[in-house]
Amino acid sequence: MTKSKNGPGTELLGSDSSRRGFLKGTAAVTGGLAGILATGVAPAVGQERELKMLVNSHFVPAADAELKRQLEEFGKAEGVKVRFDRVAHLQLPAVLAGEVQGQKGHDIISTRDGNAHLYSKHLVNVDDIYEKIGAAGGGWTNNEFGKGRDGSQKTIPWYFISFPIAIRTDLVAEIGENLPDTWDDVLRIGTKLKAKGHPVGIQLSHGADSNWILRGMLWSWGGKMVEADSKTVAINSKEAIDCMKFVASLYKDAMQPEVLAWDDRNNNVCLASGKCSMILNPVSAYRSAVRDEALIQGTDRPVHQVINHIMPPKGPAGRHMAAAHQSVGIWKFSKNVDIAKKFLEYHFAPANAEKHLQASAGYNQPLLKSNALHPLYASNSKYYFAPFIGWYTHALGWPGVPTAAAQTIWDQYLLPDAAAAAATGKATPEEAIKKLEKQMTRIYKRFNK
Amino acid sequence: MNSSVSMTTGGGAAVAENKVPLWRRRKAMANYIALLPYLAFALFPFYIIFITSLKSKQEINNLGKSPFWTRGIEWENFTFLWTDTVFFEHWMINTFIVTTVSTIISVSIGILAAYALARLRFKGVEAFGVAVFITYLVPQTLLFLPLVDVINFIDDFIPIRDTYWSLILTYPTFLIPFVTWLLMGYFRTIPFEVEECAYLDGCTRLGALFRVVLPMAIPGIICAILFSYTLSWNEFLYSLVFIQDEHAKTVSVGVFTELIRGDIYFWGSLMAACMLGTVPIVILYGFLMDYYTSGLTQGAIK
Amino acid sequence: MATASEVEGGVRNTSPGVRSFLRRNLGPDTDGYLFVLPSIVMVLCLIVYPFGLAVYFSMSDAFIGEPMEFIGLENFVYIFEEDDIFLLVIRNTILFAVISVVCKVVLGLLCALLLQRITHLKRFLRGAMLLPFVAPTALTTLGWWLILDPTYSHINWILQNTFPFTLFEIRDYQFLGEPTLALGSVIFVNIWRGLPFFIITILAGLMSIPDHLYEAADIDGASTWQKFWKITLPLLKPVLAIIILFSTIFTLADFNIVYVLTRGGPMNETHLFATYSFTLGILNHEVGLGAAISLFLFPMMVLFVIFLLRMVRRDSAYEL
Repeated sequence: MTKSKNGPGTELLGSDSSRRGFLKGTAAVTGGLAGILATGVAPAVGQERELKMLVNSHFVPAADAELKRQLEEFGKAEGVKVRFDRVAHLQLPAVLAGEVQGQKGHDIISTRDGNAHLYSKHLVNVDDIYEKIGAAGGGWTNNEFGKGRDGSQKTIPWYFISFPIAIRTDLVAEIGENLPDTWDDVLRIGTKLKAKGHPVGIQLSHGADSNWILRGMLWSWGGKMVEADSKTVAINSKEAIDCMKFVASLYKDAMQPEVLAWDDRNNNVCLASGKCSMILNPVSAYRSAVRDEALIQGTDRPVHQVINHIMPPKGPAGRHMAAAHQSVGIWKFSKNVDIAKKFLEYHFAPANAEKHLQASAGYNQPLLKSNALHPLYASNSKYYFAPFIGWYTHALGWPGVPTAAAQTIWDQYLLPDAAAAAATGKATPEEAIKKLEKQMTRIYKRFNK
Repeated sequence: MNSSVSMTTGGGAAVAENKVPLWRRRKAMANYIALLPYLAFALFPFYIIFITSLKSKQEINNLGKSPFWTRGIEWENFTFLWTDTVFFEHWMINTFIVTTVSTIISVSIGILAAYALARLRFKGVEAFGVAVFITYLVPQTLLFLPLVDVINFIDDFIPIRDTYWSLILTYPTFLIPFVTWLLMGYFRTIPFEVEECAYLDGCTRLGALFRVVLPMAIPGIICAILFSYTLSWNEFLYSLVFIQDEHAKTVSVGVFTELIRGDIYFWGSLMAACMLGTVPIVILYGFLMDYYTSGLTQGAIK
Repeated sequence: MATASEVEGGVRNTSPGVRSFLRRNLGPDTDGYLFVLPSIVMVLCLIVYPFGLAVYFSMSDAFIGEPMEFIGLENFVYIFEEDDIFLLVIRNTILFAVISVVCKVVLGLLCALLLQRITHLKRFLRGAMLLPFVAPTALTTLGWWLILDPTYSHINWILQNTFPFTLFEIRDYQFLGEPTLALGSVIFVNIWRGLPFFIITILAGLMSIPDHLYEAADIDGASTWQKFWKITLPLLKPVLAIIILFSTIFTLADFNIVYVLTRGGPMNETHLFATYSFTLGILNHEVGLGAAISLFLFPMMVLFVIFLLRMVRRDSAYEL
């Protein structure tokens, strides 16, 4: 599926040149009309440079608005045209793959976790601006992040998204419990609250939340997907199986089957509608409850007043949670690498970066040390957790680094599938882990080559 | 739901007008009543889409209230489509262009092929007929992965990647076999003698086709156009795979990929978009339904 | 496809001698080749060639953004030996096609018989019944999605808040969350969408049955049932065979409904060939595996079509 130019295997189908010749014929016949008409539609090429940026739709729309404003401001100052495109977050992998395949698309793209490693050879080296931005911002909190396969910096870390528990404090108080501190507490309180019609809501499905939360749980039990070398699959362990067993009992006692069909929105809706007692989610769940003025059923009381955030629970091996790491990179095929780099410097300059952070209303969490204790987090008592949750969160691929293989396993939702199988009894926890190990080994084999 | 209620009263009134024996009238009523569940089944989702598109966010999220009625009419969902998405200025227009152009291409090519299959005798014509049928069995499912490669290749010469031209190029692959097959059946119903007269008058083959055969086949051609139009308006998989650029998307895919964003949903605007995306094709049917059913049955049965 | 080689060149600017030679060997209407040329070019470039490419991909480890290597039948071995979702796909496809086609035939027949009997509001009723078939599937399925959504489910609301059901304690059904219900929901929506096609076509078939057959049966004193079994159904068989053929082709290759409603979930229990191939090939970047999966669909369809065409031919004696 690589382009015909770099697809070494195409000889098999006939020589590369004959295939090209054949296709050229096609293009001539079928494209004739298209060509004539396209000239009227396609934007004029050459004259003016256009800087195109693609991000996944921010969960707090004001953040996108601020970013767009900065891009336009930059465009005006530099005398270049700019274009700001957004795509739904679960569509991003497909869009990036499409641009890589066609070697055409945007200049600056927002990337996730292992994308820098996955698309290593398609991204521009940004070591120079990485250093500069880091120096201006008091240093990076994590220097492992955004590296390509050759060890150079391929993307600039942007922000991370953490998963605290968002919990209905009133419901917990009603049954005379304290807020949960460990996963066992979650199970105990969740079981009691489910009996009262307020289940726990953790997705076991093809969604980002599910992928992150389950990784956090696995680590809290002492399990890991991969060794610290980022190459050896280490999922098949007693700890991982114990974790799956716990997921199964949590599913059975404290959750409803709907979590199998949920996407990233359903848990927020479940909390805001007054049904769910607790979910693990970034602050966007709370933010949308505030924005939609959702009420507690049968009362006039806004539900956001009784929602609070607490640290992710502790497991047998301590308190660990995964965090999504967003970053930005520049495609190698871009014709505007110089301007793109300039814009990244502009956006990451302390004043602008701070505005973007502010606009995200606590959703974006900084990866630059200077912003770690931003006044924003003191502005609302419900954000108190934010400056400290970083102590417990890890990036994809931990204890290794975010790699192409880790990202591919994330993109394929292999862990949520295993957890769902174990939870519903479709497979025993041992079988589910064994199968996951097999699938992971196949993918690591490809990328370890 | 609503319309079904008004329906029965309408039916009842119409029946009452006739002076027919009571038992017969009762029997007729029974037929109408038996049709009600079908009607409700067919229209239920349209009603939900319609009513939800008029609700405010807060009302949609109020799970205690009946979801089947709205307290007030809110236009915010429609204005959202205007202000926050490119629904009208790109998705609708793209869909319109793609559908129209690929229909024109497919019906033109299909007419030629169907005419040859129905009328002309040359070696291989039967094999060609079988081939048309077999291409029908090669589903899009099988082709979308390699077609990405083909489109990227053509893109080296003509920029069609990530534009609606990639759809205009590929839609005929599933339209032409169907159009050919439908029109072939239709052309066969036209008596050959008519055409012979045209030849005696000195018409060429193409002249006979355009002056004699096509005018007689108009219902069949309208049906083919309608069918192509619907199939392309409905198309989802190619559009989902080939188009990533928000501005080049078609309605179905634009709504599906752009309105479901973040971790919150816009049920109201989603339903508003579903409604607006359905309306054009429904209006088209309102006018041309008779051709559709007659042409379809002519082509399909003969 | 076989005609491809015979067609090259076209038949222009030929001298009379050549023309008669061609006429003797290729048939009287050699200009027919020009008529079919555009569609053959289209088919070759955009169906035959990609089909070959799909076969090639299925034997490679093609992965988006990575160099591609030939690996023989490894993908197929993997699918058969390790991919348990593939079995689910086969199961779902068969269930999906069989159940929905059977329901569509039965309901379509019933509804067409009813529609044939009514005298008023014909146009309106037919138009309304046709709506699900003409409206864009992806969009109407989004409507069904809201109706079946775990949190907003309209059906659960009816079950819990309207009269006859309130007498019982009815639980929250997870129409898209429980695997069996989810598969049921997907089939249900497919029936909803496909039924109008059956109704309208069967109705046309009914209309084309000549009245004199029924009149003759009336004279012989046949009952309504007998007329249905002895006249209506046998004469409808060719029509039924054709629409079953069509519907099955569309249903086997369906993508929209499953992808919009469940995306193949929960736990990959509702995948069909199209959605699974899309998931593997596009979302998971495993182009090789995706192509291999989708290739299985073709032989299944061909077998089914041969089987159905046999049936039609056997029944063609009934054709008038």
